[in-house]
Amino acid sequence: MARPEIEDVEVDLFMRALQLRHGYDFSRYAPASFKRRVLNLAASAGCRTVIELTDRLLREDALVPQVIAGLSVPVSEMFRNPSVFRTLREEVLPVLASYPVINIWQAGCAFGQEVYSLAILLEEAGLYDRSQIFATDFSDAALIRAQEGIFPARDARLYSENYLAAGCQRSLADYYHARYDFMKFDERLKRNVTFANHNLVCDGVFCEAHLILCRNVLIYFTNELQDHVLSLFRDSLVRNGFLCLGNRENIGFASAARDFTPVNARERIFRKSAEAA
Amino acid sequence: MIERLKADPVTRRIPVHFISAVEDVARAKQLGAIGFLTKPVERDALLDAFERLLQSAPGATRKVLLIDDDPDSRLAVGSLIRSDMVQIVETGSAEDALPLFENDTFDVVVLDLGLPGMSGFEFLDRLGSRVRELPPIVIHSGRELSREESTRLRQYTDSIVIKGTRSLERLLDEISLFLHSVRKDAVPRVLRDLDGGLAGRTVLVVDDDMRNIFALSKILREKGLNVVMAQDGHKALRQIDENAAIEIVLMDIMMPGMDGYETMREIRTRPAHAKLPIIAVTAKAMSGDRDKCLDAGANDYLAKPIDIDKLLSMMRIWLHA
Ligand SMILES: C[S@@+](CC[C@H](N)C(=O)[O-])C[C@H]1O[C@@H](n2cnc3c(N)ncnc32)[C@H](O)[C@@H]1O
Repeated sequence: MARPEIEDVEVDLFMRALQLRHGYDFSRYAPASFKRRVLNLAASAGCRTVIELTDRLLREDALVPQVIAGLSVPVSEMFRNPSVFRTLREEVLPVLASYPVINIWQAGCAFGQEVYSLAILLEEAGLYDRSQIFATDFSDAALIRAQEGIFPARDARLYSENYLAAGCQRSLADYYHARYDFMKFDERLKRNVTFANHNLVCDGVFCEAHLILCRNVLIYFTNELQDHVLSLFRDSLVRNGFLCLGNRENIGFASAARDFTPVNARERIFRKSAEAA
Repeated sequence: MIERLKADPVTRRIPVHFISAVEDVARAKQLGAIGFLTKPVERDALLDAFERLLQSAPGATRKVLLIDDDPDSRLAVGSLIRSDMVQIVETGSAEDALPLFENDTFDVVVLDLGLPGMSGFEFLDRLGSRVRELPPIVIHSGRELSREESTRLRQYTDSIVIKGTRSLERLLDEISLFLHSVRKDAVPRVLRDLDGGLAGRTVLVVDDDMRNIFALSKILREKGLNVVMAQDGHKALRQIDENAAIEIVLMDIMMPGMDGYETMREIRTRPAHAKLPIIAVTAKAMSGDRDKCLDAGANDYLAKPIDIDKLLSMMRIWLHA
């Protein structure tokens, strides 16, 4: 049997320590990207080896949020893949309008770009006042950023272009104030958003959702974990509820696939199958 | 033939209709047929015969009651679900609808909320107190509903459709689910909880998850409990302040606005409620979450999805403590 690389053993021990001591289970994350993250984390914490980082992790509880933030990949943008938002606006929202109260779960919300995009979409469709968005992530650091709704001004241009490409009706500038190098989104956009910590690996169903957006999160998971998360989504959705995944993600191989039917396969929008009650 | 069908346990219950060239009604009946036709069979008579077959078959004709004051809307909905298998009864008001339940049962009731006279809400309350078990209800509303209104409706049904461009397809979907009884919502009535001492007690359910409200209130009511609901922390506090009958609280943790932790802390600041039993309900799985609930003032802790038996025994314990 080939001897594993020292680094791999270290990463494995780090993972075990995180689970045993702090309850976070990363064993079903895609190994290559997890390893990359851990190595980065060690370097940025000034540790020479991952073992050194593990040692600190075992003793310093205060390090946990920082570690989780480092293992999270909070890359996002507003109206990312604009055609997805266009499809949501044209195909999904009119159906959601038939529910008296619309619950939307945005899982893996990172710094909140998608949350504000959704709020704007709902606002322009006249549905926001009866909508409730649950924005969740397992990184407290990300959630704090998301609640602030502050983004670098240099992103304004991309976000505005995306906004228009999504077929929205006004101008993105109607929703933010530019301050120095930052833009801050209107507080009112948050009025129906609940930010909460939720770990897709171990936490359960907490709401009845009509639409779940979970984009660019499953790519970090092994097939087995993806399957688990998809059944969590199935159990959270109302009958015929919508699921929107990232554009590189699919449910084709998952055994949960029979629970969902594609509505718009290109935009990765699915509906919970009627039989999957 | 019929003798063989009736002898086999598998086929015995299949309704049989005789089509015969001779007239031997008595003999056919004796063998267990439910109807009898002589040849040549006329089309209408045949259809009729089929109808009767369907009635006695497990998937018999379904009866739908449409309550809507707008004839156009009744027409639209009616044509959506019209079929030989479906019998539609229409009324324009809740007042006219109520007496229908005295000698009739319906597989689905489609209720418009914007009725003149008695409102849909009142209709449901009254119907609920008259019949032992409510029929499946589909709400069809021409206007948007407030959160309070939809919570109130969710005690009776989870099929609420707001009229709009894409709403008819959903309405059809909701109705047909009941018609084809895919949905097994009609929870068998459980015997009143005689031993458990829950009957007559008042529980406040604080949850914004409509499904829990629907499912829990149904089960708890069947146990004879009085169920009061609040869909957020502020409303929960108001309920607790105003309703002295509340003896125990089921508190969901993850709610919009004031969350469960904060609400529990608030409850505990009130001297009168320092000892009010609170069971926290949470979707979080880590052991730290349990401690957080207890720290915030919960007496006990239950993870979602709720195990009803566990919940009931927890409630018994805390109500007796
Ligand atoms: C690449 S971002 C996706 C952001 C946004 N959804 C988008 O598509 O633009 C991935 C997010 O998933 C979160 N995440 C990773 N694992 C998670 C888990 N187990 N539970 C909840 N969130 C998780 C990360 O913290 C990160 O914020």
